[in-house]
Amino acid sequence: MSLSVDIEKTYGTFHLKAAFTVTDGVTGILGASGSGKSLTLKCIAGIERPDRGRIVLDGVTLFDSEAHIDLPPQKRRVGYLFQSYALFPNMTVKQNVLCGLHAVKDKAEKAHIYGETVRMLGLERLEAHMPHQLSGGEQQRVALARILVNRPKLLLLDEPFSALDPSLRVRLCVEMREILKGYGGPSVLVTHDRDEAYMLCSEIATADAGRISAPRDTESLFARPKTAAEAALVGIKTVLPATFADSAHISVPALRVTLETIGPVHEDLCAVGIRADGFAETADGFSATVADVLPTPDGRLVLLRPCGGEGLLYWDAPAPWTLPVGGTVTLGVRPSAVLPLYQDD
Amino acid sequence: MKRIVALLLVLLLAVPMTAACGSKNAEEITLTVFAAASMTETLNEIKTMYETAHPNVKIVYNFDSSGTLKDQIEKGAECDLFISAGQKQMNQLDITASKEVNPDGLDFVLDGTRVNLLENRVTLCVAEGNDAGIDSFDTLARKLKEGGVLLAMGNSDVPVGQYTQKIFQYYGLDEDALRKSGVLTYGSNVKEVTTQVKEGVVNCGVIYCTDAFSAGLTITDYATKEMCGQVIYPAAVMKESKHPDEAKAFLDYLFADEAMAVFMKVGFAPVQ
Amino acid sequence: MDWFPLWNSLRIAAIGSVIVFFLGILAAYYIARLPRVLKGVLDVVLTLPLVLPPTVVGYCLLLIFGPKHPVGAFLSTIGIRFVMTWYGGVLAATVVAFPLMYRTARGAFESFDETLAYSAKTLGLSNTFIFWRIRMPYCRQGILAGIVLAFARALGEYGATSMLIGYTPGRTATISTTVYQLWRTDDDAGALFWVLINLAISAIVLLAVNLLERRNGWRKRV
Repeated sequence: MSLSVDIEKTYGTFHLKAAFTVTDGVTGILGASGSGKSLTLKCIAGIERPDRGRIVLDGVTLFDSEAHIDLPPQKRRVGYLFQSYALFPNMTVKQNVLCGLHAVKDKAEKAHIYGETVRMLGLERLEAHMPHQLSGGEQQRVALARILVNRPKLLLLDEPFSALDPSLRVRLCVEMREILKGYGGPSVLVTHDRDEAYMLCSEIATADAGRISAPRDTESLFARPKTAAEAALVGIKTVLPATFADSAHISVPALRVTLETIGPVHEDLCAVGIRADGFAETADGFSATVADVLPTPDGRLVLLRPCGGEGLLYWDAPAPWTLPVGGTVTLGVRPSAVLPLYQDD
Repeated sequence: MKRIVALLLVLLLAVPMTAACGSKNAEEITLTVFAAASMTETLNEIKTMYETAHPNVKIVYNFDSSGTLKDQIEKGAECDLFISAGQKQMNQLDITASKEVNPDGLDFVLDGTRVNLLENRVTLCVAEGNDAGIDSFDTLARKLKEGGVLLAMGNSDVPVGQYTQKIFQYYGLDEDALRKSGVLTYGSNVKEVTTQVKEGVVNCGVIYCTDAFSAGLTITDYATKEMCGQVIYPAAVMKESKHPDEAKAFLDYLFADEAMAVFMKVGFAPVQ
Repeated sequence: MDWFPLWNSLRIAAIGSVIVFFLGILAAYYIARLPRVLKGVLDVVLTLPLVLPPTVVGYCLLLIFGPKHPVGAFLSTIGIRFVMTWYGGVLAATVVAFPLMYRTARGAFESFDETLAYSAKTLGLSNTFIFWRIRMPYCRQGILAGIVLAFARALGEYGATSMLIGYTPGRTATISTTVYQLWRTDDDAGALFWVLINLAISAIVLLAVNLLERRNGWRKRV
């Protein structure tokens, strides 16, 4: 089963352009707030209407601006898990979930699907509760149950963990993996958290100021982000303008050095990303002054300003750290931590 | 931009308010005349004539049922001259009247200014195209007993309503019984009754002949003296008036030939 | 004892409230979806009876439904009369109470969390189901307030009612027109009696509404 999306929508100065295809498995859309990820989901679900384009799910055209097709959400068979879960506050958990089964006429079948899903999501104790009596995690499970009994062809998850305690996230991610496996159909998960994306998604599309890229394999995206936007999303904090030196070297004007990297480097290089754990003190390298030292639970993040030019370097420095702010240090970079970055097309 | 437009609209509303509080000429005095609703058209015409002849006098009218006007005077409304459509309301304000007709002992009438100004006649008018075959007071009395018609009359606080009640008594009709059978509908003043007849929302109404003339209604029948007595309109200057002389002057003018001509044109008659 | 004004006022207020309830919520629902300019214009027009003096409203109704005017004349040919009948009382009550229901419902609907509707749509639930089983229960407080206001306004309507249907004992008399007439004809005892009746009705209605509101326990914000 596959979903193909090719849409554009303009909202004042914001311009959304998304073109990608999704097959079975969990595809993520990773992007900062306001980058257009939720808007894309809403267009797929039929809650928002794109200005032009086509959306086709499992051979059924959900939207086609040329052919004037725009199926109402009721007919799209797309399940949508909202950030706020959207449980109906005037109904019990059981009534909420049964809403998802409204189309099933056979009572036995209805009871069977309901029972199965309630068991799968561990909702037995909660059936008579009202939504406001549930914790965030419980509400999410109820919302999922309601969607899953509805047997959607596609599952859309809008920042499913952003409203929940960070300490529970790992456990919830694990549970979600099981649920999504049990669901078996294609899902699109939208988030700004790279850890969630990495844990749950086999492919990830990046969202940057309204442009949604084609999905890439998760591991390769994180290992080798190709653009400055991708680098920022996967957690590379140090990004500097750079030019092509040769197929294994990148010239970085701000550092006044040429960095070695694992090739091949292409000529249309425009920037370089450096992993925070890639710096080390050396005798000959480039010098930088310490701008700030940020303590973190696992160590410290040192912000440095290169002596040769503009920019900030972020270094996951090891203990012990003795240099004060203002002190100078000479640094080198490990080639495997140097990432060539190209223009977004 | 929106705020400017909104502000302009509010200011626009303020203009009529300021215009209304116009400057007062030092010489100019305002006479407030409370008069029965049935005198509306005639008194308005006379006002134009009087103000032209006396530019320093401005006349302001309050037309309503005499009962309402008497209430307002009693409660302290500013009034220089009161013209009632019946003796009852004037009696209630006149200390020289007997205790029977002035039970509260009210003293609003300025001594020596009370006169009988006009005589009117009570008439029956039917609605055009909806008259239920009523062609006289006799027929009306019969149809009221039978039911199925709707008669508009003034309520018991309105002089013309009181006259209608007298007509009921003359024909031996029980007003309560008529009320119960739903053939009566009450107006708060004679203009209301006239409008209902004119608009055809009732079959017929009992009003003064002057109202019928003014509204262009055809009079179907006149009430006789036996049915409801004489309809006399008394007038008097009020004790609380701040301009008693000017009020008296205006009252005198009402007896003048040119004013009487206006009254007689619509069916009033000077009191014999 | 003529109890007609009580029965008449109650039936006019009740029927008027029911009509206003449906018209009000449907208008509030559909107009909220219109483009901004049209929505603004309709808002003004539909709120007019609220800000106009009731006598002005009554006069306008007479201009339309009087037997000598086009609409009224046409309606009387098919046997419908609003002037001088209790139907006119319902008409007057509906017109003056409508803006109260409409604006209260608009406010209530605007506070509705649309994601609930979106979520319901993606589950395949029909728009009708969403309106009556999700939106209306959510907005229950506001809608109830609107109904109370509308009923109170309809019950207490005097100006437009008096002009449109007059005072015909046994046929069109309402509590408010009766009180006025009794006062005008110096029947203070009678007037006071009806005043107390009206107070009693209003107190009972408000009490009932209060009880209804308290039974509603669930909070909206989950």
